[in-house]
Order: sequence, then structure tokens, then C-alpha cells
Amino acid sequence: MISQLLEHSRDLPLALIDGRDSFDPASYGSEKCRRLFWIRCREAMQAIQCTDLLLRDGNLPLILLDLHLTSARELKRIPNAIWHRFRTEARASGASLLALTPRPCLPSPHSRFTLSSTFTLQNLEMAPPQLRVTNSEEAREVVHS
Amino acid sequence: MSYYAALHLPGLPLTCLLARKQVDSSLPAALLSSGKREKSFLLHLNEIATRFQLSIGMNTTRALARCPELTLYDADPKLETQARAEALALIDTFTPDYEDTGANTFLLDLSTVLFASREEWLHQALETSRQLGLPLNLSLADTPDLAHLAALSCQTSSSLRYQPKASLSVLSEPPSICDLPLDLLRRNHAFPLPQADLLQLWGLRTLGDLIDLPRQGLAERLGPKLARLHDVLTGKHHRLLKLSRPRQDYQTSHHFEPSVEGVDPLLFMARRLLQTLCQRLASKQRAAEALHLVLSFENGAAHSRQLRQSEPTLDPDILLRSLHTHLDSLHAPAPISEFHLRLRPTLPHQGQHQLFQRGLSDPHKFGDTLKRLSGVVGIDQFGIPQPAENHRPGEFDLYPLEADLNISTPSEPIPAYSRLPLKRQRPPLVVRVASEKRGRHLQPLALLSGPHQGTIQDFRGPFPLSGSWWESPWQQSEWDVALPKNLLLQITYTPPHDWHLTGIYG
Repeated sequence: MISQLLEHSRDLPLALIDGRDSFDPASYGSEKCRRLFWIRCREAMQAIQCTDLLLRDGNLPLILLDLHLTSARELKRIPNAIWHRFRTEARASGASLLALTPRPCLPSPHSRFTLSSTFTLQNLEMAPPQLRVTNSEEAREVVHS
Repeated sequence: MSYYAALHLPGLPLTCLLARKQVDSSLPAALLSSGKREKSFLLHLNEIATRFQLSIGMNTTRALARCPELTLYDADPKLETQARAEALALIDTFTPDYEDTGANTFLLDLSTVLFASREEWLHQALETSRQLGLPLNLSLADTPDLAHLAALSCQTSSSLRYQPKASLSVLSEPPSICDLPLDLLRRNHAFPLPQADLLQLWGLRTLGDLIDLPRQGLAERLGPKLARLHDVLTGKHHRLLKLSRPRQDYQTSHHFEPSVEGVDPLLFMARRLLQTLCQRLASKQRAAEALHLVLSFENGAAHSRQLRQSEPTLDPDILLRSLHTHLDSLHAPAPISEFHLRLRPTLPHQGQHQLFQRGLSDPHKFGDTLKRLSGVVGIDQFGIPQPAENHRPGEFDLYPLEADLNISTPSEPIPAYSRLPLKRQRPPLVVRVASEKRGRHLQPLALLSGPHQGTIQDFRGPFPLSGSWWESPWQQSEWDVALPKNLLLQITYTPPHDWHLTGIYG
């Protein structure tokens, strides 16, 4: 998903708030990484604080909060009020927040997508995967293929 | 409408002496010219001395005969210079645009200063001037010369006096110079009047009498200089000030008495001082690229920090915001007794934005956010990532994101390392792996520990890697392995027997 977001050239970089410090620049190449503003966090609450700051700042239009590898227990500790606050801040500043979580935990997002993928070792030698919407009626499920 | 103010320090060489020596102001005092006492004469008199029929230029012997209690002082040029410097520093807080007219008079251009009413500004300025401890006259007028003339007399100006007691008087109406004596021009070199004797013979006594004369007739009979003086007195001549720019430094200090413990009083004072410093910078067509802060604490400790701005600015609010952000995170060991601010000047930012390119809407705010981010995650934990120019897996460089979005990264593009992105485990997790030796390499069979365990169903590898043999050599073999439920992992083997989980694909 990050790869696809970085493919489109934009004037302002994509802000990636990496909840587990797991982003690997070498997997994307130098050209794509030029369009990325990477914030390395060690725990979920750090990532939440950084998201809050960037949403309030409003200079970067797209913020990706990656909590994909965060444990369920840590995610449960994030109060729902935080997500409501993020929604209000994003509305005020005009920024968009994209949150990646292992399971649905945002209380009232504008849109919710489920990402699923099936990769084999052969994919490591094939063309990079693309996002594809499989349920076009509701546009809910997006599949890496 | 533009206003001009004139600040006049009457008898400065004598008043600064009396003020510094704390002489009883009810005693007559005079300042002597240099040279032998017998040949010396009076240069300046205080107000009490004038009551004894003493006048400037009078011989010392005659003066003492008229007033035996007269105290005579020799001039102290050092003290006078210091008093003038203090007066200039005070004027600089009113406005950066002022002229040192000479004869202890300063003309201030107030066109860039906002004030509600004349009285309010005069009152505020006189209150601030109390710190000088010197008597002074202050006047406001529409032209610089009218303000100058009004300030020469305490009848036509607001004034600050210390004799017989400290008092402050503010004129509510604009001053009228018509009642001022014609002799005033004779004593002041700024308005030369060579025909003063002739005018007095004609029966003219005040400036009002001169104003009433027809300008054309004056020009024809006494020349164009007097016609020009007539224009000055009637406010028709509006000259430009020769602005004084003595200060090249952009720094200021404030001493708290008593010391303060909270941030609010400091920010309150800093706001005011930054405004003055920014005005000073603006008058030089410069902007501030960094703010240097020095805090002195009551226990003798000090704190110094340079706050670099995202781009050069002249807005005191932006500078104050960066100061506020820094002070919020500061732990003071003792109450703050003094602070010192210095702005580093630079040329203002001039950028031609692209028509179809979007930049940061508020670079200063973004700079402030970056400082806050560094407080949360650390200063080296964010930026523009770039793969390192070596073959060691997991290495990268982080480049700072500047407010102008100029990223100085290596020119040679580095391609992606793999087709599937890797979610890297930092630091690599030590795992136990069941393996068997096949040829020169150990082949993994199953992951026995760690978050993802199971039999390896498929694998790619080994991919032997090594480097830095000249300084700190490293060597490892990478394996891409497939576990049940389509889980793709990258594991590495580091001789002699360490296995690590380095990342998850997908």
C-alpha cells in the first residue's frame, strides 16, 4: 500500500508514522523514498502523539499511521476519544489520515477498507503487487495481487 | 497622518552630573567651561541658579559674587556620553527611526508606531523615560521642526521634572509655538536667524509675530533663508529626518527584579523586546534566521540555546512561538533572574514559487512541529529516508526535511531491493532454527522460537552477503522462507550459529 501511495508524484511528501519502526527504505528504492517523510516510533503511544502533532500542523496533506504490527493489547489501550479527536483535527486542518491496523479499531472512520493478500515466494521475483478492489459495490475490500 | 516627536534633554552636561552625584536639587549649581578658573565662564545652569540673576556665558567671579552658594562643576565628557547612550537606547525602544539633531535633542518619526491618542503616547513615553533619571521635554507635532521648536520650552511641551519634586506633566492640546520668544532661535543653531537684531528693532518679540508677517515681503527684504524659516514656523516645510543608525547589534536583555519562576512573565517581556528587535531588523532590510536565548538563573547557573527558524522571519509572533516551544520543555534549576535575546540577521527569504507546485502553507509552523516531534521521538528519528550506498541489509540514511522541501539526497538513484516490501524487525530477533548442513551452507528446516513458528514449506536462498572487510567485517546469509498460512519471512544466518528473524514480507 505504501508503495502504491509513493508511486504518485506529489508536491508534498507523504507522512509515514511508523508505529513499530519497521519501514525498510531499501524495499522501495531512493526515488520513492524522496516522497516520504518517515517518523520512526517504538511504541503505539509515540505514534499517536506524532499523528496528533502532524494533524494539528496541517502542512502535510496525507498522513499514514502504520500500526499494522502493533499488538492487539497495545491497540486496546488507545482510547476511542483519540480517534474522534483525530477526525476533528483532520477536518480543521484539511489533512487526511490513513490508519493501518491489524483489525478494525477506529470507531467512526470516513471509509474503512480491508486489505488482504496472498503472496508466495514467487512474488519476490514477479512484478510488484498492485491494489485491486474486489467488492466494487461497497468498495470495502482491497486485495494485493 | 504622520506624527513627529522631539525629545529634548535641557542642560544635559549638568543634569547628568547632578543626577549621578545625587546632588540636592534645591541648591544652585553650574557647569564651568574648561581652562583656568579665573577665565572660565558658565556653560549650564540649573533652574535654582537662574533665580540668582545668573546667565549662561557669565564670568565665574561675577557669578560667585551674585550667588556665593553656587556649586561649580567641571564637565565630565564620559558621564555625558554615557547619558546620551542611555537616552539613545531609550529612544530606540520607542521607534528605530530617529534623528540625533544635536544640542541634546532627538527627533522621532512615529509614522510606524501605533498609538490611540497623543496624550496616551506622551504619558507612556514619559513614564518609560523615568528610568533615565534626567529632566526632559517631549513634544508631538505634524512636522519635525515644529516638534523640535516645541520641545525647546517646557511651556509648549510635556515634561518630566525632578525639581522641586519628581513630576510629570502632559499637554492635552497640540503645542502652539506662537508664544515662544524670538530669542529662542538666537540661542539654537538648528534655526539660524542672523537678522534677529533687526527683527527685534522692528518690534517683533515672539515667533507668532514673525509668523504674522507676509512671507513674500520677508523673502524680498531679508532673503530666501528667512522665507524658509517662515515656512518652517507655519508648518509648510516638511523636511526629511537624517536617521541615526548607531546600533548594529540585534540583542537586548531584561533583568527581573524579583526573579520569576513561571514562563508567562518571561514571554510577556520577550514579546515586547522581540518587537523592538524585529523593527530594528526591518529598518535594515534584514530578517532573523535564528534566535539566541541566554537565561541566567538565581543560583548562578545559565542556559543558552540557539533556536533556528524554518525560514528568515520578521514576525515577532513566530519568534515568540519558537521561544515558547523551547521554554515549555525546559526545566529551570532556579528562578530566572535575567534573560538575553539576540537575533541573527540575514537577507529576507525571496523565493519564486511555481505556479502549479504546492509548498508548505506555513513553514514556520512546520518547523515548530518538527521541534515538537524531536521532543517525542528524538531528533534523529525522522526525515527523508534513503537506502544507504552499501550492500549491508537494513542500512539507510535519514535526511532532514527542510521547510523549502529541498532534499539533498544522493544524485544516483538506488533501485528497490525486492519486489515485495519488507517489514523489517529492528533490532533483528534472535530465533532458534532447526537446520541441516547441505554443501557449504546450513539450510533452515523449521522455526522453533519467536513470534512465527512452524515448518518451512518453501525457501529461497542462501544469499551470502559480506562487507567492510577493511574495518569491521561482517558476514551473513539471507533466506526467504515460506511458513504455513502464506507467511513469508526473511531470516539470516550469521556464522557460527546465530539465526535472526529480520523481517516479514508483504
